[in-house]
Amino acid sequence: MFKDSQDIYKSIFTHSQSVMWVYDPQTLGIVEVNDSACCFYGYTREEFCQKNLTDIIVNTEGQIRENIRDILDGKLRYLTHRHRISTGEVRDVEVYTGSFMIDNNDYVCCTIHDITDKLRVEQQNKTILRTCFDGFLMVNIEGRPIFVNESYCNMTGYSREELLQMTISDLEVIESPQETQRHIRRIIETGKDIFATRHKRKDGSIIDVESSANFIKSDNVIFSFIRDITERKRMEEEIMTMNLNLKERIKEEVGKNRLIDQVMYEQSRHIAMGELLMNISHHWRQPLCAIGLILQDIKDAFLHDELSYKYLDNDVAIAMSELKALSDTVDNFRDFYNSDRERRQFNIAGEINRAVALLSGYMRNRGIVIYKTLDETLTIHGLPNEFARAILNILTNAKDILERRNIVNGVINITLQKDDSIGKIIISAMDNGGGISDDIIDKVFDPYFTTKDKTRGTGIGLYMSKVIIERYHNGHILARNINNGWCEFRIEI
Amino acid sequence: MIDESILKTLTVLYVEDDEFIRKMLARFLKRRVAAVYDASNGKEGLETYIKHQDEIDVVITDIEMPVMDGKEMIERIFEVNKSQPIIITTAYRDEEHTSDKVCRNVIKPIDEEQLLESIMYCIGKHRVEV
Repeated sequence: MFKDSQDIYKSIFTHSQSVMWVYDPQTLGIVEVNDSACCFYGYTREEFCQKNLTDIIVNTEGQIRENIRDILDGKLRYLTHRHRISTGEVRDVEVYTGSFMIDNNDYVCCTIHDITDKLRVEQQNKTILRTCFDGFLMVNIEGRPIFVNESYCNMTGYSREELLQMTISDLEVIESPQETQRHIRRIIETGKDIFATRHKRKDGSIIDVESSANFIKSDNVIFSFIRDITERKRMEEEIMTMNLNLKERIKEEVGKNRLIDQVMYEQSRHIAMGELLMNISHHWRQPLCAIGLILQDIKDAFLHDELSYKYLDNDVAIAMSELKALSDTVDNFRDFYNSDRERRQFNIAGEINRAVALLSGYMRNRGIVIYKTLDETLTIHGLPNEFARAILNILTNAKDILERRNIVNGVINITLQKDDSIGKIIISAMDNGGGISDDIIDKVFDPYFTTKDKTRGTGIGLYMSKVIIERYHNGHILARNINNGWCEFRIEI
Repeated sequence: MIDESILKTLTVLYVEDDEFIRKMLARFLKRRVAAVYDASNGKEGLETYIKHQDEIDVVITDIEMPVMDGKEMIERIFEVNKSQPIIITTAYRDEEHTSDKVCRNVIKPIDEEQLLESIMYCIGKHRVEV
């Protein structure tokens, strides 16, 4: 084919991208190298041709010569070596060899592949498999393990040798051998699968496992990472049982709370009725006394010859006025303790005034003064009777404190205004009853919390106020101390 | 029967914060007793008592009043004269509004005849004790 075949072959050898060199198997001297070899080993051609095989191959001369015998006999064409390059670094190489004869002398031509990086990656992979906590199983398409790592041995209690004699079906608990074969075929078709199953250990015990299998087409094997999820399953089951129990418990507690709410609502209604009667009685006592005195005065004036028409007219007018006061009290408070049937827009100042009016008789008797600064235009949507009761409970609480602590010149200051900066309506009720001590200020809205004697308080009033304001009017209520013994109950809606 | 001649010798201090009741009862008393001093709260009542204690035979007082309540005024009067006849007129028949220390507790609405009897009872009792 070629005119001068020697030149052509030399050229092919010299310019090949494969690392190639030729040595004399008798002397072990290197007789020819190509450019890629010079580049790989880091020598010039002249330097390289001064070298001997023992300079390059990291092995004993005896072993080298033994290999050469096999090469010359045609028994050895491929081997792996470690070669030293000019920097002193040692590289792992694959060596493909072929011998030829020129002028009755044997020569061996070597083609070298650097596999240092490939071996390092292999080593890393082995380390990963050896050290990972998950079991690793490489099986062929018949389901026979061809590699297992230590974790899987520990997981199952079998030695590596034992496992390599078994099939997956020997370990599998859930699937039958036929099902396992079908499963393997499915993995081969789809390339991968993640599934949970159970494996039998050598001692007969069963472990729950999760397997992540990948079909490696090039090697016709399945890589499978296997995780022991026995503990996880146990915890999942425990959590599921706990959740079931918890649901039951929550249902039970919600039911109990609903009952407690109902009981409390009833209690608060009873207390409210009692308070209503007490408050009405305060409004009625003085007019009744006045009317009694007028009637007796008419008789007395008659006995003392003082009873003129004018005298009588005056006494009757006063008596009628007192009777009207009694009637007004009934009108004012008739609806006060009725529950609202439906939500509606109502005037806030109106309801505050209603609550204050109910207490005013009592307050007056006790010398407690109520000051009001109310924006009469403000309205909200909600339950007016409930709202008035919430205000009444706050005022009653303030009144009780002033009374119990014997505060002279007790004052309750009520303000109602819109705070435009936060877009909320603020209702503030302040009293000079000495404030709330820090250790209980967080508890004043708790149900059944009271500092009063058992006969005087049940601890429901402020709780009901909070419920009414927060649940039915979407507002917020808080209690705080202000300077000089003043305490503020503040509602933001 | 009430001996009106005895009543005519008596001076009464009447303490009541409700102006109308005070006016009506004072009018009733003035028709029967020698003199009536009235006051609208415990503090005023105590001051009047101290000023006129030699004249005052009977103190009639309400309990719930501003500034100083009846209970406190009664204690202070007893500090001055522990045998002073005192009648409480109150709307409430409970411990808070009545007292064992005073001569009589009269519950409102006031029965004026009953009040006169109470005055006579307290004066008679007082004179026996003295």
